[in-house]
Amino acid sequence: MRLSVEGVSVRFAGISALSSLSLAVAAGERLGVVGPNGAGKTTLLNVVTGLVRPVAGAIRLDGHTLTGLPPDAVARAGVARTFQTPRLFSRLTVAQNVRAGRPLDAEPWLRLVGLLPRRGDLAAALTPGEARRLELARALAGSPHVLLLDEPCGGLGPTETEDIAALLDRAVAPATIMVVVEHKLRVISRLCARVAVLHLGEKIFDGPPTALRADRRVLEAYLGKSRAS
Amino acid sequence: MSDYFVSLLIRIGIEAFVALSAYLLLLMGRMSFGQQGFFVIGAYAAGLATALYGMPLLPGVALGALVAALGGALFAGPMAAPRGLAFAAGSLAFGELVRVALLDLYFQGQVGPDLIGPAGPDGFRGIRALFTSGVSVTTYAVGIWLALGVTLLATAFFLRSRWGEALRMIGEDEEAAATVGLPVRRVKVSALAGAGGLAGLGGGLFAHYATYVEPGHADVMLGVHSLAYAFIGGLGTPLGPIIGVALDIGFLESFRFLAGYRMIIFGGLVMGLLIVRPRGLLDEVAVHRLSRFLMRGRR
Amino acid sequence: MVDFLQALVDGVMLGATYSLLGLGFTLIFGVLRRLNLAFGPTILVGIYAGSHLSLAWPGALVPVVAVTVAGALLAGVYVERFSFRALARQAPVVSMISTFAVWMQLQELVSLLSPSRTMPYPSPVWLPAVAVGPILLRSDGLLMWSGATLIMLALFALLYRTRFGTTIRAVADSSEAATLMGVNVAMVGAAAFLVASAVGGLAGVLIAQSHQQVTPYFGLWATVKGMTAMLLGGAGSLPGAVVGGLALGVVETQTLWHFGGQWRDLVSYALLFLVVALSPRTRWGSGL
Repeated sequence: MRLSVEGVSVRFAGISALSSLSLAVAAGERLGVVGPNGAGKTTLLNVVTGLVRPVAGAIRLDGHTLTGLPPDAVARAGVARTFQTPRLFSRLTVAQNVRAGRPLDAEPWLRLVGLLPRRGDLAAALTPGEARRLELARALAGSPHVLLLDEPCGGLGPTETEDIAALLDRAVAPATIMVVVEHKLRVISRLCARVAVLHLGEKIFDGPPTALRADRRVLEAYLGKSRAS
Repeated sequence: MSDYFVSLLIRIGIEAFVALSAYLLLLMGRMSFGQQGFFVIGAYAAGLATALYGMPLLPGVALGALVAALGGALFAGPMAAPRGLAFAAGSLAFGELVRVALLDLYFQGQVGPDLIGPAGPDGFRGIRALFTSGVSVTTYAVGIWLALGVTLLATAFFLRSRWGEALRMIGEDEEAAATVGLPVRRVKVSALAGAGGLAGLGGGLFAHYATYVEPGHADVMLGVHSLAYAFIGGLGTPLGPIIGVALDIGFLESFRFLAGYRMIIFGGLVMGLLIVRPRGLLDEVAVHRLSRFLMRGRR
Repeated sequence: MVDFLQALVDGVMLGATYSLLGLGFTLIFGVLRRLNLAFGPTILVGIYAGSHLSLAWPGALVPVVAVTVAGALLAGVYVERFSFRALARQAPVVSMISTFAVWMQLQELVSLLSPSRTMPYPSPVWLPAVAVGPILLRSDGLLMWSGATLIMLALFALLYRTRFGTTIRAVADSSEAATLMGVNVAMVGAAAFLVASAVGGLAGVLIAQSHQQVTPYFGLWATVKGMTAMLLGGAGSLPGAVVGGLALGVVETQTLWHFGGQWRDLVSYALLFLVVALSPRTRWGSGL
């Protein structure tokens, strides 16, 4: 299993959000994606899931082209995701959110994320931390080949962040391709052996997190040219 | 039963089908101002089947509903994707298109001594299958309510199924629903077809009660009222729209002194309710609490 | 050829009033990001008020115009208060539902207060028609066109040449940014609503003097025309609404000339349907 992004470009109203970006992630590999605001991280997830169409390039999963497929077909091909702010179905129950119209049993997944006691509540009643865990359970429940996480620990305190990281370590099947967009470098270094840095829609770094702080272009992107030198 | 009461029952029953069809689409997050179009499509088709081609009453009405459902599926071709304002505008245009097109529809045939069939602005007269089959109006009223009961049970069943969950998911966040693999387009097409069929069923029942149907029956106010009924009763249960219809036609209209002011009062009721309960009296939260409460009682 | 030109001229004269309706819609939609389905019915209230006055006081044209605009304004204030300001915290779609509840009310109200369904509306019929070569410019059409053009010029001067107009456009552009700059967005929204209602009332005067009568169906008619003009122009663009209105007017009169009256409405509704069907992924498609 291999997810490859090949020379993908995305434009919004003439402004380039991603410019000929290429990335390949192998089965079992966990890629962290970092970068300043507006770097194109969420756009990357959107273009892989089919919510946004690229103007150029292709996205393939194990040789099958995903580009141009509607989002639901991409999902059925085995790509699951979470959103920067959880997008739950607030008027459905917690268990219904995990099933999300699929023929599966919600209970094991709810147990996994510790929400089993709340299965009968409406999703609107959850705390932000619980909402994150529920969205994660929904993404995991389809047993996806590819799991795309958009700031899974965004807006959470240190304890909850640790909970989510531990949960991901424990719950994600070993062969799953995982891509994590995250601001907190600590989470990335803990979960991922490899990290890509995006800046203004281009990939400026791809390597182990330990090499990140020594990279000149990364420092420039984060700190500005003068201070980096 | 008095004649007035029977006619009231029939009107509530028929309107309930249209309100239910608007309700189904509201669950999917689509506000349709065009369900009256499917209502008259069903009415004309059922009328043609019985009056012109001699079909018996029940299969004729069923055929009318089927034709309207087919219309709904075709309507879904261009209208499955638009939402919000775009869907509202497109459905309004559709409803009016049907009305205007019927003004020009002439399709008459010789039945016995009479010319029967749609005659443009004069409408379609002589749909007499109900009375030639010897069914009394009271029996018809009972039949309509039986059909409504069955439809309600079926709707409730569908809404509890995965399909119903899918409908609500699309209504809340279509993109999120797609990213978990829900076949959004298929669900939307089936809902639009189903909603068309429900409105068409109401139309066929109406045509045989009134014995005629005309382009004016596709007045946009029918669609507007159906939406209001679905809203005032609440989006949490398919009983919501029925409550809405009963409240308006059954309750407000039976006060004779309110006669002319009915729409003003009803409109004000909807307006005021929206400020405190934007998803109607029995909204999802209320229904959820209620069902929990009932379950607890059973334990 | 002459037929084509005549229909074109008639279309532009008619379309100018559609442009006005489209501008009213766009003002409200642009600033509040909400759709006012009761826009047509508020104008209906104004026209009926004007009609009543003209029956009681024949020949008083200026007071009739004033009362028509005042009626539309009053109804506009009602809609703004209960369907928009009271629901500002709710999803935009809730306002849309509320406006159709108001629509039911206003339509019933004018029917109740009027002796007959069809009410007369005065027209300055003494104005002569003007012939330019083979093209005949009817007085009611000329009045529609010149009136609408003057109102549009005044509106664009207000929106593009005054501080108030700049504020309105800033809010329409981004209400978040405007809030950060210290603009009271709610106040601006209400003001835009009133301007739109006044424009609607004036458009109502011009249209009603041409029709010389009005029925309760006018509410829906005006809502559909305004919505079509706005959507044809790209939903949210003021110049776009002007072009959209003119285009709608021309399409209608050309259809009328070449295919006959019964096709006119069919084509204008089909146009609205097509606009929606062919641009499903525009920002107004998903914005609400």
